[in-house]
Order: sequence, then structure tokens, then C-alpha cells
Amino acid sequence: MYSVRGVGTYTGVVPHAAFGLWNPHGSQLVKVKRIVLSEQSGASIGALSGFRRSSARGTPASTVTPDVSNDGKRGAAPPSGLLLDLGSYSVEPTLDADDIGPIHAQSGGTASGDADFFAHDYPGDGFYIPPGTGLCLVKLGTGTVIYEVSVTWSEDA
Amino acid sequence: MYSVRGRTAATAATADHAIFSIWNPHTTQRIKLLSVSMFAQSAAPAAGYSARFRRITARGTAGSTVTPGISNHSTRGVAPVSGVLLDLAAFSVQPTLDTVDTVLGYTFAAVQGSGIVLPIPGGLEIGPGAGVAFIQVPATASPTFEVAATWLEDWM
Repeated sequence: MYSVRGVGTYTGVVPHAAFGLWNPHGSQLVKVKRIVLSEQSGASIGALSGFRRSSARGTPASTVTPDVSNDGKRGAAPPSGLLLDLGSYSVEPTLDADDIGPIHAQSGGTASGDADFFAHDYPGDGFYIPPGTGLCLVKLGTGTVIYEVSVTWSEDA
Repeated sequence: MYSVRGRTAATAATADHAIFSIWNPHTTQRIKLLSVSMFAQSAAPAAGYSARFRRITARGTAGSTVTPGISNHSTRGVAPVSGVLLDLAAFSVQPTLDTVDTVLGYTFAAVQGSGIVLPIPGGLEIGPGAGVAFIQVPATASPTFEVAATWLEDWM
């Protein structure tokens, strides 16, 4: 089991990405088990985000590259070479056309620091990210939100 | 999930000799052994022939070795990160055995083709630089065995 965290944001354009998980491997599957989001600033009523698959990585503002420390057993770096790309992107990832769940909407106060919290567990074997593809959190509503994100995934079972 | 198979040679007529072993050569990666299977191929096991798992701390020198690759992966994603090895009898240098057996063992029927498919409840974790061997109980040479093992390189 692997986990990684980072902070990302999106531009004021729908459906731009706040962050993306990119699987650069030629054959390895990534199985996402859990995603946790926390709004750090910019919360506003109407802030709405969802997920889309991506077919090209784009150019993120920064990237977190998991290594052996991200392994729950400190055994090995993830063989897929999975990357956590953080927005805002200078070149947006190429997104599939369909929005997929879960969605996240601001439900609390709108002052900065009202950290709305969201945790989603994918049932069964998890959400598959095939080789050479990704999964992005994208803007669907109004407002510009900065997200703290953490992701847990498996590379085998 | 990964799986591998191989065929042993006969063991010598010496108690506690290894029929096969699963060796994890990685310095940090753990694996979880989920199941093993083995079936007598060349002849019937001797009456009362039995064997059981014991952890090993040194690999020894196997008669032959199978090195799993990407095709051994259930999703054909990557070769096993651990570099795990299936070592097969007859060992010219026996693996170094822990002093205590695990509880997993089996007595074979004295019939050619007898064998077992043995799921391991909860799995058996094998740490870095360690392994498990299936070692015979009696001082009796074994027939050749067809063996297979299934394991995980990552799990929740």
C-alpha cells in the first residue's frame, strides 16, 4: 500500500485540473483505494469539483514523486512510478469527456481556513488507473480552491 | 498477484531436506505467500511421506531456480519487485533452517500424482533476505514434484 500528499489548485476555468495522478508505466496498473481532500483556502459556496480520467499528462506547477518512504511497509518505491501532479497547470492534462464521481462541493463556511474535509474509499479492488493514463480532480463550479490532497493506492492486490 | 511453477528433482534420503523454497532476495521489500501446490510426478511418495514449511535464513544452493518475470503477474504489469525466486530440489547446499516449523504441513498419499493445493489463511509474510522452505520429515528420498506458489508484492 502506498500513499502520497500534496497541495494543488486550479485556475478559474471549467474543467481545469487541481491535481492529477499520472501512471507513466507501460504495463503496470495502479489501483486507487482512497482519496482525501481538504480545502485550504478559497472556499466558496458553489465551489464544486469532480474527477475525470486523463490521456495526456499536461504540465503541472509541481510534481510529487513517491519513493520507498511512501510504501506502507517501506519495501520499495512504487513500480508504476506513479506521479502526483499539482496545479495549477501551465498545460492542462488532456481529459476524457465524462465527469466521474465522487464530486465534492463546499458545504461549510466560506472564510479561508474553513477546511471542508472529504474522504472517499473506492470499493472492491479500487479505481484502476491503466498504464499511460491518469485521474484528475477538476473544477466544475465557481471559485478557486486550494486543496490539500492525499491518495492511497495499491500496486498489486 | 503473482504465481510461479516449477518441477523439482528427487531429494536425497535425509530428514529435513528441502523440496523447494521461496526466497526473497530484496533488501527491503516484503512479500506475502498466499498458497502453494505440489503434486508427485515421477513416482508415488513413500508410505507416510510428509513435509512442512519452515522459515529459512540463508538460501543454500538449489538444484535449479525459476525466476518470475512480468508474465507471472496476474495483470502483466511488472516483474515482481522483490525478485523472489523459486528454488527447487535437489539442493547441493541446504538452506539454513529456523529451528521451529510453521504449522503448515502435509502427509502425501502413497500414490503417484498425489498432492495438495494449500491456501494459507491470512498469508505468510516473508521479509527481506529471507524465505520459506517445504522440507521433508522422514529420511526418505522424494519423487519429483510439480510445485506452484502464489504471492502478493503489495497489499492493504
